[in-house]
Amino acid sequence: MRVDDLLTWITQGCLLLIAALTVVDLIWHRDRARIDIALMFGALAAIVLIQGLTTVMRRQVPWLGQVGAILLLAQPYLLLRLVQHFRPVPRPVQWVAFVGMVISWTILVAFPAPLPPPLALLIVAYFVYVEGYAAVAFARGALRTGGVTHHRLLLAAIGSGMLALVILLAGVNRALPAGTGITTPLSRLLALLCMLSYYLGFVPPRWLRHAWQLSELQRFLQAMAGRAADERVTTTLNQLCLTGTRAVGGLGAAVALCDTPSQQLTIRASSGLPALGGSLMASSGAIGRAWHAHQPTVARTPADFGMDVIPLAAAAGAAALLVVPIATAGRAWGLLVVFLNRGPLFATDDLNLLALLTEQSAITLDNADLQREIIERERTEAVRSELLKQTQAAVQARDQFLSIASHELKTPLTSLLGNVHVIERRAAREGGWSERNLQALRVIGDQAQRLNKLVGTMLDLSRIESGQLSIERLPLDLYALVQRVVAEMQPTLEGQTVDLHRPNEMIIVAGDELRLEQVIHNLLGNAAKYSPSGGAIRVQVDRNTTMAWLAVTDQGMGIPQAALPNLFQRFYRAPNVDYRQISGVGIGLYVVKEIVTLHGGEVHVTSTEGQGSTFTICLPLIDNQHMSAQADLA
Amino acid sequence: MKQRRRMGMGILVIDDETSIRDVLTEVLEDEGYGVVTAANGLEAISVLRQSSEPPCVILLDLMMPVMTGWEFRKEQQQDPALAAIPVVVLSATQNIKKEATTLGAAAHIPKPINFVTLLATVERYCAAHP
Repeated sequence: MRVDDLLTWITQGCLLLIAALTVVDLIWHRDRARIDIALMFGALAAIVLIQGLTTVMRRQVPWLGQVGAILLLAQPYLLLRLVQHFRPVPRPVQWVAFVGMVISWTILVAFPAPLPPPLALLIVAYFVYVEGYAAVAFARGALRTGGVTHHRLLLAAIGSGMLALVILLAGVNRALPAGTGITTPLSRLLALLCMLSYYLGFVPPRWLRHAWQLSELQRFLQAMAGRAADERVTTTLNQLCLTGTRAVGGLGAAVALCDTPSQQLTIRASSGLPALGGSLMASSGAIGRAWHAHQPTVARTPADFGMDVIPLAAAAGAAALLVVPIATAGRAWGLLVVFLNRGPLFATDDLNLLALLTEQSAITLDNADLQREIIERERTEAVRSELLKQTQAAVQARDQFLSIASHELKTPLTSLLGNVHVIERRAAREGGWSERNLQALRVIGDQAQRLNKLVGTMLDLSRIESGQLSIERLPLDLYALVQRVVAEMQPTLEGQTVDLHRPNEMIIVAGDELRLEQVIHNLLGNAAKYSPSGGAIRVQVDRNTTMAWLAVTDQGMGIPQAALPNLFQRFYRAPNVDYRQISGVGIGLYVVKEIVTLHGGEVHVTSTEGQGSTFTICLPLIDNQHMSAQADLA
Repeated sequence: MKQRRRMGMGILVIDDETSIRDVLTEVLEDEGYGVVTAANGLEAISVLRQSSEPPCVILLDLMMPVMTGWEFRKEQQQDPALAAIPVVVLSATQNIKKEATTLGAAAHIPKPINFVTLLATVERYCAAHP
């Protein structure tokens, strides 16, 4: 086997491979650029197939040869069609290509081989001109783009240049047959290089595409690296526009991000475009498809752009768009829109590369968002703890004030009450006071007492709130205490009768006498207060195995079922209480509960509205035997 | 009224509040007791040491400037001439019972003062006086 035969076979195999791959590619992704690519390589492959067929059949079939020649002569025209996909081709050049093709066909049909040299040279000239033009166009396209398309266009330019040289050599051969010895192997080598370039340019293997993508991605990431966190988002968006534009040879690009509350896409960055602003609706066209289906999308005609972009595209002079979502798995951030003056030749590669860039940008946006969230949370936390500190200080100041104020109020009250006491005693002893004056004096005494109680309650409240309410637990006879308080209260009752039940045995609890007196006083006071129309107040003291209990039952107005859970909260008053009729601030039961709880006891309430209430307190019992043992020790 | 007046120094009231001293004096004198007052523990000590006859009872406030009730009590207990005088603690502190026990007081009355209780208590220590 001769070396140049081997070269030819490799070249032809390469061509067949390219044709097969482009056809497969066309089947997978149908678009006009792919049709033209498949057409061009299909035509070239057909020539190879015809040659092969002729070799196998071992005889010339004239019409097959003619078909092959016609397909070959169509190649420059088909190549020019490819160029038209990514840059405009002047009309005269288009005409030259078309007319040249038709004239070549005519010559081929009209003159049987071998062709007269001038005509052959004419065909060669047509070939070389169009191929050369395409090669230059590809090269210029390559210079205008970056990324994968840059490499592919460059290889297409090299391939076309080689093809032009091959044809030129064929022409030289025809003009100077003596040089065949040199030109034939050279043209075979060039043809091989041409096909390899076309192979890498038009159907590059995946690894090569990735390598090209990576270099572009690297550049993008380098541009963002080393930026301060607060300008990273802006840098990312600007860089995305710049890199996106260059990578696909666009006129410019814009990034629109979705505003969370309004769900509107607002343009946040752009490059190579007239001053932009405003928002996009993403309701129709390529923009709408990219946004709602999260799919990188190409639009090759303004009609397909989407309503909102048309003015922008017009201002930029764009005839095609690439729209790529900026999104991570968790969040759709927005869209990258790249404006092109012609539809892209290698749309899939362009979209893939842009998707790679937008993915990185989305990750940066995610990170920035996360960082912002963290900073925000830290700030909120700081504000909250500061507020908490202030609130605690305010509460402390309030409690302190209450405590001081109460102490300060107690002194004049003691003086007032003492003097009332002195006058009352003197009046009783010496007489001479009119009943009216005595009544006025009683009012002073009663109201001072009332004020005194309020001050005491306030002081208790501040003690409870600041955790300073302390109790001294000493053994005490619960019934005796109840009996004393009842006796003290008897004179103040108006229409209510107290029905006190003596237990069968002495009931001793560990308690603070003053505090428990307060509790009993509050419960009895409430029973009387909320039975304005009188009735019996039943007071029962008894014990079970572990606890002593005291129950106070009235026949008063009762408490609504819904109010019961809130009853022991401070400042709470049941809704059926008429404030104008029955005064109170809603502290008594709160204090009762606090005191009983501090004793290790419990408060319970049952009530039927309109029939009365029962308040029961339970207190830990001291065993009688235990008590007597203590008494013995003492 | 005159026949109820007791002889001697009577009752010593120790309280830093003038109005409390005044009202106690008024109430107690009205009942026929003799009353001497002091504004703090130190003053009380000097009053006690100057007088020929000890009071039947001392009404002692706890929180006072110069010399507190606790300090006074310590001083009093160290002086054999004064140690036997019964002391009734008058205080607004919520732990009055505990304080009174610690101080070895004869009785305690919480502030604001219930004057009926006060008179009953005082009578226990001063009834025996001529």
